[in-house]
Amino acid sequence: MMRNIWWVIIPVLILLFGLLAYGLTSNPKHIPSPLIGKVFPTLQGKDLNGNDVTLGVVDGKPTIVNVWASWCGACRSEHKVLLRGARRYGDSISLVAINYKDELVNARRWLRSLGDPYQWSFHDLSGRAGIELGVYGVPETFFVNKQGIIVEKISAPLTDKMLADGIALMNE
Amino acid sequence: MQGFLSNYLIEFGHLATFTAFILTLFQLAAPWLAGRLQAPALARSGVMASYIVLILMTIGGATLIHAFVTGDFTVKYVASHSNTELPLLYKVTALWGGHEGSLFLWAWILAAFTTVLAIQGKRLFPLRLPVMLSVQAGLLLGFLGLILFLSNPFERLLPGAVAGRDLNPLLQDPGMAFHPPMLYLGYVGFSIPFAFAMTAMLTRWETTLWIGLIRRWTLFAWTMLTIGIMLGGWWAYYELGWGGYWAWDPVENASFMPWLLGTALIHSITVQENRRMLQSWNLFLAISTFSLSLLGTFLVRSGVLSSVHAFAVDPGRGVYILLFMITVLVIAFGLFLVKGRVDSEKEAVTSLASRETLFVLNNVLFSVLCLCVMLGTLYPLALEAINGAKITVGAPYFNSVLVPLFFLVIFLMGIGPATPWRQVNLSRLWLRLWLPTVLGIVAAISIFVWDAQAHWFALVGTGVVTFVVVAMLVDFIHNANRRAKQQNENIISAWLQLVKRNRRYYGGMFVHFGILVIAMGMIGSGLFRSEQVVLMAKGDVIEIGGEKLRFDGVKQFRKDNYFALQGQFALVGTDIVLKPERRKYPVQEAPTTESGIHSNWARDVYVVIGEVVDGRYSVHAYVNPLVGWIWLGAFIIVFGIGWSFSQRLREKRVRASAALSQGKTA
Repeated sequence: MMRNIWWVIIPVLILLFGLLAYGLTSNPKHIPSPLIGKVFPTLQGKDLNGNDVTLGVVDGKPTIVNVWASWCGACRSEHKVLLRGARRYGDSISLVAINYKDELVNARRWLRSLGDPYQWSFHDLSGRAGIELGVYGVPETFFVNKQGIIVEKISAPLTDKMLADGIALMNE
Repeated sequence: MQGFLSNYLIEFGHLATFTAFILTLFQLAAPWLAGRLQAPALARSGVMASYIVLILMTIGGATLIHAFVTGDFTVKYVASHSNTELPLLYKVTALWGGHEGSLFLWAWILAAFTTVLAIQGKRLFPLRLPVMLSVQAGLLLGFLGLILFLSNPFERLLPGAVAGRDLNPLLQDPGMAFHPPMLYLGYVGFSIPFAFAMTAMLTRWETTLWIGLIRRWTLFAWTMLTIGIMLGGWWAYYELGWGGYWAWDPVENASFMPWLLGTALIHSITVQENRRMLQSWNLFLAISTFSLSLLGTFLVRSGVLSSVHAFAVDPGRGVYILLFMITVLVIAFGLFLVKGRVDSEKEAVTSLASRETLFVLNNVLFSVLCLCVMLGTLYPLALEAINGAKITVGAPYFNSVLVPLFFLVIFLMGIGPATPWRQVNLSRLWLRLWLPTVLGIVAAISIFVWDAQAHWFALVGTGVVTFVVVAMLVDFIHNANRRAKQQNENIISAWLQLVKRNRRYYGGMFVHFGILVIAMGMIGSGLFRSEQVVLMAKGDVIEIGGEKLRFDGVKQFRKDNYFALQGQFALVGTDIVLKPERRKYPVQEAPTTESGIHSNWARDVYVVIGEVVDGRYSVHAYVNPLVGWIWLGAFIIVFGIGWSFSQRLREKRVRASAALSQGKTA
């Protein structure tokens, strides 16, 4: 038995090392959304100022839908990226938001003090829109192309690069 | 601040650690250089080197702890893991609250173990010691390199931060403060059997001569690992607020794999001591167990698997640890393939029906268990590599595959002690086992009668545990009666003398008993839990698992570095109040939950308080039967190991003979 143990140990080790090396190149946090390739659902509601808004209607431009909340710590670092992005990409895209399970007062104060990169924020106090979109953690960002189809979803705070990559995908 | 020295203390610690790195390099090379240069004094200097390395590492660690305690936020690691308002205990334990410091702790413990090994080896195996220290130095070198070049806790942050980002609030907890060092004592402890095995293969040192020496090391490492795992489970239970203690998370599995193989190793050492069998197998196990410790460290520290333990991930570090691990494993297993094969002619089994067969079965089962855990842990990675699918393997796989195997292992605990070495007389064995068998079946049936809907795990589990408890009692009474007859003692003093004089055997039995107690705790809490999620206003009463729980409102207060909202829940009919908390740590902007628990021997009442919805609080309440038995079992295990350790007589004999024969062979 001991003579044949070569044939067990060597393949097992090679397999293990290969697997672990592969693991290093992939990001376990990145989970593809089943919504990718689907049409962004249409949802009606109010924005933070009480105006009627409709999510999911695309006005001929690629649209980024960012899910945020004032109680979310990671949103704070992402916010700077979005402000920069809004300035850089300007009118070529629309940037809207879902304000997720948040008190109006807190949400407004946040935008006043940190700046408001969004055209409007859909006020989702009950989390209804969140359920529709399979939101499981804030922040999340959907990239929707001109045809209203979701091309990418990021479930982590955006970086400048992620934002640029997402926009490139929307414009394909 | 004050004076030159205190300003540059961290640089001093950094320098000390760097010097340790250089010395370790020397220690690694010492025996080979000594051979080349024909200078035996050089080989002996490895001992001194290991003392100095430990002192240097201690200086490094002390400067870090000093930086934490004084709140020196010009040290980057301190700034990101501490805060001025952190309680003192957590300022100290924050040392291992992050990646850099936790690796430092790993290396520090390794240096300490190496020093103890050097002290032991100087007396018992001076000629092999330089090689053994060289192996340990190789391991330490790998970790020191990582610490110094890729994840340096001594790095400065200039200009310094004002307050510090605080320790992750989940880690601000006594259970968590001691979970990592215990776990590392276990992981690192397995490096000693590894070093013995490597040295044996490098210097043609016959296994039989040193196997007795690694028994204590292995037991010690195993015990620490057990305590570490238990602390982790205990912490998860009361801190995370989901009512459970084990989730088959990849990182939990990573600590469980060396535990399983370590258990196999402890048992196979016993076989070799008694019957001189399984020599190659023991080499293989010693290498594999430590390899799994390294794998565990890699999985936790690289973040390749999605896990609650995956901290900030830096791919550079992952690559480094992987390369280091590959180097160690290739050398170790390569050496094993070339030199690890011991002539198997000596290994004769007298009869298949014997205690050694059961031990082999034990080893097979533990190895299979370990493979199953590994398969489930790495399967998502393999699947993703093949077709890009993202899955996680969860409790259903692990429970349905592993639990039946564990029942088999427990079953062996019952027949093992009743079966003698070499050959068993089957009718005599049945004489000892018929009563346990009958009572085991009765126990299983009574569970069925009590609850016909119970899962078959509950029936079989209870049956098997009862079988083993009774078998152990029968064995004990049998031995005591024999002793009473032989020594002319009364039965009570025969009992006491038996346990007192055979500490190693009965220590082992205590450990087995502890495992049985834990098994019952898991069966009770895993299969008979009641659970409710309700909205409660002040004055509301719910009934759960035979208990009545009344909500008496909340209190709010500020303590140390957090704000708390504390629910008041009364157990109706008693003056017991459960106080679950929700805490907010302003610096980290993170909330934590503290569950409110009332325990007695039969059950835990466990309450978690959640968000306010329309003026009412969402409340998650559980009644977990027998969960306290799990922690009790852990105490019994530790006691059993202590009892077994207190028998030094036999150990001394082994040492004397090892020292003697080493003088002859070398």
